[in-house]
Amino acid sequence: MPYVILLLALFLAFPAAAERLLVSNEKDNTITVVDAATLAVTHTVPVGARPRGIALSKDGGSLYICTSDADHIEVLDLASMKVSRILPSGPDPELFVLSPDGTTLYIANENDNMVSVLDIASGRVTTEIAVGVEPEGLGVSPDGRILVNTSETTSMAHFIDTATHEVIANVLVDSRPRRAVFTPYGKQVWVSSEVGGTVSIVDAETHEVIHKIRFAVPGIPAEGIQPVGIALLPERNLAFVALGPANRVAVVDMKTFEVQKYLLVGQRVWNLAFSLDKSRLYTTNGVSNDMSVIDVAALKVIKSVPVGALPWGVVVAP
Amino acid sequence: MIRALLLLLLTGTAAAAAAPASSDWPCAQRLVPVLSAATYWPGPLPDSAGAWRDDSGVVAAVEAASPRSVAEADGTQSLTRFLEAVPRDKRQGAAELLFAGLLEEANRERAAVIARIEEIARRQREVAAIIARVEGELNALPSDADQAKRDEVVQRRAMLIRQFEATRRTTRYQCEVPVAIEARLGAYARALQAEAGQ
Repeated sequence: MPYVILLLALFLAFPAAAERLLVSNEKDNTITVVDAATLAVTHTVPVGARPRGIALSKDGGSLYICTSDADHIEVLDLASMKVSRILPSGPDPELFVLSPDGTTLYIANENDNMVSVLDIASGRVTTEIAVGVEPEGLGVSPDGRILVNTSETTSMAHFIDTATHEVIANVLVDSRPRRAVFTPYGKQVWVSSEVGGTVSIVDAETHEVIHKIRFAVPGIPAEGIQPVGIALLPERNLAFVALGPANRVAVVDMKTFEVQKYLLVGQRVWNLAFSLDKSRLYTTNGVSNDMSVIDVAALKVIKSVPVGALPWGVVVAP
Repeated sequence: MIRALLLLLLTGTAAAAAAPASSDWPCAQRLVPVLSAATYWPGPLPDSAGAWRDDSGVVAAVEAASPRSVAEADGTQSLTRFLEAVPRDKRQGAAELLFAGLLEEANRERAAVIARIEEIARRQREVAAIIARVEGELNALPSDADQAKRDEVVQRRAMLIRQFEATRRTTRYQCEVPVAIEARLGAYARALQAEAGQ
């Protein structure tokens, strides 16, 4: 048995060779493609203006890109590395979330206080849901029935029924909420607040804030701690929270909500993504224009990979 | 059209005014007034602030790498060279002194840039208020008002809006300066840590 674990651990430390990391670079309008095995940049693909939120299609063959200043969504074909399709959105799409069945994109449009519901097959926006001022983060429950949207100015997480498109609950969180992430069984939603400096844990059934995680890094003033990206790893009972200009990723116990460790990464750490086997965590760092690679088992930063200017999002593709 | 623009100007200003940390901060990123060592440096730094000034070699190296005109690659190279010449057992201490000096200089320069951006934002709010006043003046003109008078007010308003827009574009550029200072300081910190760890 210990041998099996050892063998497993060996496998876990080295992600599959075919894996690729895709990073959106907000300032130079490109997608950087990095080979996960060598951590070398293999492609730099020009896309529309100001690419921010990115998501992988369910079949893993395409990357959806919010090209915010182009006011639409681009579809990058990962075989040819060419933009193969343009899909509509509202004005200034910042980020989106893909429904678990892969058919629908829910898009947060920063400029018109709407979440657009885009049917990918027909390429049509079927509904616009009115939400709070400056919609920002989006999370969808594992069963696809509940959508959570955070609004920057209203400081709320809006729970939306995806069948009726009605807002069923508004939960007040701390100032300037950013990401909303469901736990894998859909029991909780973790919401980061950039200005409030906290992560609120919301019960997905009762819509109550059951806990607020606060962060304190010795020597860094409170305003320097700005939680944004969240990555959950229940298999190891760990959550990772990117703390922006504190240049730290907090490692949190998912049950007790205690912060165990702060990892020093690149500057203004923004979004996070696990390798497919969850052995590594990748971070985008907007000021140092690089990506930090964290060894999840050792909880150590093992490498910095330079990418484009102002890296925003990162996803991992097979 | 003009009403919409005016609304945009005023709501934009109101949003800036609502910012909790600094009412005069127009940049997208929340203001962090002072950069702290712990943001860049993993271990402790020398206790007494300003200790780096007691070492003339460190002072010279900090002064060579700090001016805004020094490119990141050149600054990194000069710092690395300086550290290479330090005996191995003293390198960690020298790197800490260097970083303390670079941080102090970066903060001094950044504070001046921040003050300038805040001043621009304050003036911008004044211009927005004047535009609103001129708009009121125009609306208050009777329908049979002298055409020359109407033209004069319209022209004045157009000029003010142009001025506001030009400043808004400059501000966007100005907002990148503190970020550039942070980025270079971070690169210096990483280079020093790498060299000290050799």
